[in-house]
Amino acid sequence: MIFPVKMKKLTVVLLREYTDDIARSLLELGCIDFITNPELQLYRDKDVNNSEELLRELIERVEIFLGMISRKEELPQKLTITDLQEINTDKFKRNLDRLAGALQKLRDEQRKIQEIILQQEEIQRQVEQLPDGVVSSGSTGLLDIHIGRISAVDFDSFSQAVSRTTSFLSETGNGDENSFFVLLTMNRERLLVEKILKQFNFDTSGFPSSIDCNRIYLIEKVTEAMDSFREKQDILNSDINRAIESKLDLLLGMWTDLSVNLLFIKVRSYFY
Amino acid sequence: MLKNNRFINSKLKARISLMLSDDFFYRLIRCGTLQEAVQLLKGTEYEIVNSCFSRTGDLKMGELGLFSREIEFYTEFESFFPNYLRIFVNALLMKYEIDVLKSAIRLWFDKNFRGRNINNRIGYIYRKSVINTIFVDQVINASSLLEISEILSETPYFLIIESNNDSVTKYKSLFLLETALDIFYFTELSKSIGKLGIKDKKIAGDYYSFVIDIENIKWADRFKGFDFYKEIDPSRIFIPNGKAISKVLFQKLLLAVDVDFINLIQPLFPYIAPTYSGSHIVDSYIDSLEKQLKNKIKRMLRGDPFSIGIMIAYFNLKQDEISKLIMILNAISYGLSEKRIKELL
Repeated sequence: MIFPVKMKKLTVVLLREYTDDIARSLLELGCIDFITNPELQLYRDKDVNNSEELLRELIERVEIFLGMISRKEELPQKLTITDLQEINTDKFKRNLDRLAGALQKLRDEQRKIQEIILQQEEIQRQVEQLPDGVVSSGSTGLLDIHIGRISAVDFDSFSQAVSRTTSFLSETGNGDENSFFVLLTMNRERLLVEKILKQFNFDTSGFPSSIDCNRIYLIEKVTEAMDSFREKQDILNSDINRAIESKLDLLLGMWTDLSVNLLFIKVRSYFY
Repeated sequence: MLKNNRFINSKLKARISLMLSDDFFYRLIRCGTLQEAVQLLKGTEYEIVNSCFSRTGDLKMGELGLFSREIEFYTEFESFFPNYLRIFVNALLMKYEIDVLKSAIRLWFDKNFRGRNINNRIGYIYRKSVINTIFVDQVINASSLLEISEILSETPYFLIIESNNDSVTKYKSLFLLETALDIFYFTELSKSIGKLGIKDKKIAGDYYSFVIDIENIKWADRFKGFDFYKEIDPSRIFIPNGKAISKVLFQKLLLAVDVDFINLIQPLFPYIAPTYSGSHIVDSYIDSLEKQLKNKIKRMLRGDPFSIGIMIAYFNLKQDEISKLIMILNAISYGLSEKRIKELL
């Protein structure tokens, strides 16, 4: 059986000017189990409670960032009173906000790519329903297929214009002056797409005979494009991890400072 | 039967004890940014939000993940359900299927009646089958509502869509169509409750008839906001099988406002004291009714441990938990302060 060590109950009266030194010494000794005196609760320093909450909040934020890169296990297991130094919680908060802001920018980029992916997924679902065999220009199911060419110099502007629609554009070859392409669009946007095609003098003749444009070919092309977008999202996620990694020492240092100060404040909170 | 309930209920009770605590929600609200809040969900049963968000940076993808998680709460014990319970749970699940259908039809409506660009909203609709197969893409891209009803010909919804074609075109509103879908859900739910055992039938019937009463009160109040409400036969928007609100009373409610409205329903709910001050007295009365609904859930949890009440309580608590989660995450993403979020809760 385990028996508790015999303890003595003490009530200590001390001068306010020594409270910090006493708290520090008690922390160093680590041998006191504080008990709350309900009769004296009223005299408790309210600022101490507020500071405690703020420190807890900041510690949790630091731990959240470390959790994002699975580095929480690197937090020190033991804190020493020599780590105790005055901290500027506003500065700590600003540091964390700055890091969060930098990460948010990367998340926003991820989200923009996600919008494209979701639109490509819609096209992909329709392409998968195409019948086997050679695909030609025209409408099938919910999809409109446009196979043809435009002037090569216009291709970038054309690509920009069709990106406003739910579409998949694959350049399949380059002639001397022409870009050959397959454009898949949803027929709900037919009017807009036709307007764009007309604007860029879309021509259905002269598509290279070497390209066997069939269902499998289109699935491969769409999947390839989506994989590349997902890869970009993954890269951004790695950038996020790297951004936190680059602040690892700062985060670990902040955690230590905050935690020691929290312990100190906890001891102080038993002073009435 | 009792053995089955005992087994399922003990599992559900264990799940209820593991629900997110108030302290957790408090910590969530305190998170300054969305990514910190989402990270806090790691290791909880809503981890899917974190994984979706880390991959895509898109909170709406996280919400879609939560929607699918919510459906799982109903289906994960399916293999243990005896037939009568399966029918009941499937009737409850129909609400989610109808939500999916409504979302798809709203996009179709936005595009065709309001000329809005819907491209960025299509990807956020749940696409797996809940009970029936809903061809979401075809519904969204249909040329007419009649075409939508054809697309849904293998589902119980096609007749509802077909019979509401005229109202959607005439009033340029989905209100009557969506109401008809809701009435269908509640009717099927009432039918499934009728198939439960005597004790369970009483518990489920008591709870859901109160839910129906609240819905009828809400509709009677809100329907007046539509220009066309005087032209419509009120029975089209009345949900049968409520406990206190009859069709006759419902019709009277449609003609009453504010204090008169409250005076009509107050005798039916004598335990709720109305507040006659303020500008939204009907809204605050509805809030009080919804609080009563939550109290019913609490009573079910304290009541017979082998009844269907535990299951109803579990589904409702999980639903509330997810709604709260979505609300907080969205509030954080819109940059609302901790204080404001607490007020909204």
